[in-house]
Amino acid sequence: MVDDIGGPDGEAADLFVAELQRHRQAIFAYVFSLLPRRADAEDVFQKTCEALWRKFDTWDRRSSFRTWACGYAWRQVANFGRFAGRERHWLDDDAIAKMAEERAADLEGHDDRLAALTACMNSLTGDERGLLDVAYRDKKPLKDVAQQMGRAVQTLYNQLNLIRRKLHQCVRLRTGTSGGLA
Amino acid sequence: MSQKVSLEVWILLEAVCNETATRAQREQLREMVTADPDVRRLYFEYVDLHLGCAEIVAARSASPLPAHLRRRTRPRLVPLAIASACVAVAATVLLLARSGTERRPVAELTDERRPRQVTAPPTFRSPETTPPALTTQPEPSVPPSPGSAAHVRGPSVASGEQAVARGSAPVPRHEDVVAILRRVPRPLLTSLRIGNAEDRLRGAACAAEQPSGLMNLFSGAALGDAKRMDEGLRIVEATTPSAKTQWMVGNEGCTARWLAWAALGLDALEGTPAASSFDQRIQRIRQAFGPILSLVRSRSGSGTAVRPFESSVAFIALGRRSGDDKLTKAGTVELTRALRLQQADGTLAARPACDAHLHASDVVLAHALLSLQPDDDVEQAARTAGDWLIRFMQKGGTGLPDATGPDACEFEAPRRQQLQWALAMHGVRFDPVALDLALQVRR
Repeated sequence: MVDDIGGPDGEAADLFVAELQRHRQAIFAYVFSLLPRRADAEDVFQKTCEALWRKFDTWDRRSSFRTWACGYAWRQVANFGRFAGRERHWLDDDAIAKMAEERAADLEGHDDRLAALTACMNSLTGDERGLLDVAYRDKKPLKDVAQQMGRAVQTLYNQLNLIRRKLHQCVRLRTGTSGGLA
Repeated sequence: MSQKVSLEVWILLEAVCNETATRAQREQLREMVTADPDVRRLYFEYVDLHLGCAEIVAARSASPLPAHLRRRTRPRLVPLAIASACVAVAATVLLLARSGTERRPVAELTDERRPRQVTAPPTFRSPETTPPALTTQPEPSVPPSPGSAAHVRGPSVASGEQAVARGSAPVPRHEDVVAILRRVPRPLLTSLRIGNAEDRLRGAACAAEQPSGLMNLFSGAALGDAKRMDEGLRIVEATTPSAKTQWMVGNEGCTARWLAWAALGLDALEGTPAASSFDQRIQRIRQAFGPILSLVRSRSGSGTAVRPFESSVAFIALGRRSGDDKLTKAGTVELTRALRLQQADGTLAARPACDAHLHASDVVLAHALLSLQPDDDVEQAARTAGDWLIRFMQKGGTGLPDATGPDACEFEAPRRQQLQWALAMHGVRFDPVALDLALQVRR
């Protein structure tokens, strides 16, 4: 029944909503990096959110909500792996274990990267922004976009690739990231 | 790490995030990510870049596509409009000539819409399932033969009274859906249920559980089966909190689905004699709409819903019911976007190969929306979307796509039944061949 599921009420519910809204993108990014297939990541993310809702009273408010949430997300990803085939769960348990903790720490820089990305996208040319809009807005397969624009799909892939590289370098520059691969 | 390796990783990341990677590419990336911290770091950065682009673009995507990229206005509507005009003139002449005699439905006058013959068994027209005459379309004076077009056709959305009612704020006609369902052959209608709600609630993904509630409510209403309606209502009740939670986090896909199905389902329930025994439960669910809708309003109208078709039906149904113009307008915005996103082949869902059940959901909702609000564009979208389902079924035969390919998905029983529903409603309204196919869907 509607009221039997549990979860926070009143002020706690407001706090939950605020925290989840604040960290939603980072938590989804965490899930997606362990499960890079959008439909699966969304399913797991939703299950994670339900778990967080029900277990909200176990969150120590002095600790990071994001870190606490990522712990639940990791469990949901692992749980998903038990049922999904190899095609969908291609990062095995070892790889996930190796990545999960590192990714949780890496997310400290997520908001800065997103802010930098917003600024970097503003510095793109009109054509570049237009292509990104078409590629991302409607979530259509790129071959359909290419057909719509009357262009070769490989050409679009190449152009998008260049734009993403440009954005990546711009974000790195703005966030002061150095070293590693670029 | 060399530039060559960097480029190699980049190509693999592109392929994985675009979901175009081969098994070998995924394996290669897995090995590199596991072995090299620098690759892991690049992987995380790329994921953030990829998701960030999608977020930022979605946030500012309320503006329409640039003119040179915009999908052309449906060219098929031009000849269709001309043909419709000719048909309308011919029909008027015919009606005048027959003054006062039986009016034939518009759909029957257009050859291109003439349904093919159905080879349904005679048991389909058992006496107790003879559908009641609809106010918008008189029954033929001669009883139709089993499975004939007249037997299965529902009210045409383009028919007289509804067309006149367009633009004059007609009263919502959810009961039409139930009336349509009464025209579904009884054995098929009996099979259109999601059995064992408890099992559904334990293991169902949102893609299946919310429609399950409506399916049971609708078919229960059509069959006069209070037990089935109770089962449907229990599913709606039990999915309410999760829908609320999902909306709160902004991942509105499942919430849109729940809102749409629940709103339509409750209306179907309210139109039945059994409704009074469900009064309190209906009220509780309606109360649950409140907090969800307050969150919806803060985001709606931006044209960025995850599942625009479901969102549009939810907003329009609830907006009209509650007299909330803002919500109705938000639904119209989403509807415009949803129709724009429809592919040339008729698919409404983004990834039809794996998400045929979502496409099937949209077909059912399109038919429900037509009962609520006649709309030429929605009708056209429903026709082409239903045609896609028919082609899909005729190609695959079972509703089970390639189970070994990289995009394999499971057509578990509820999802197959969603497909059955879509085919049944499409068959009743547009093409009886779909009814045959609905019966062939493997269980």
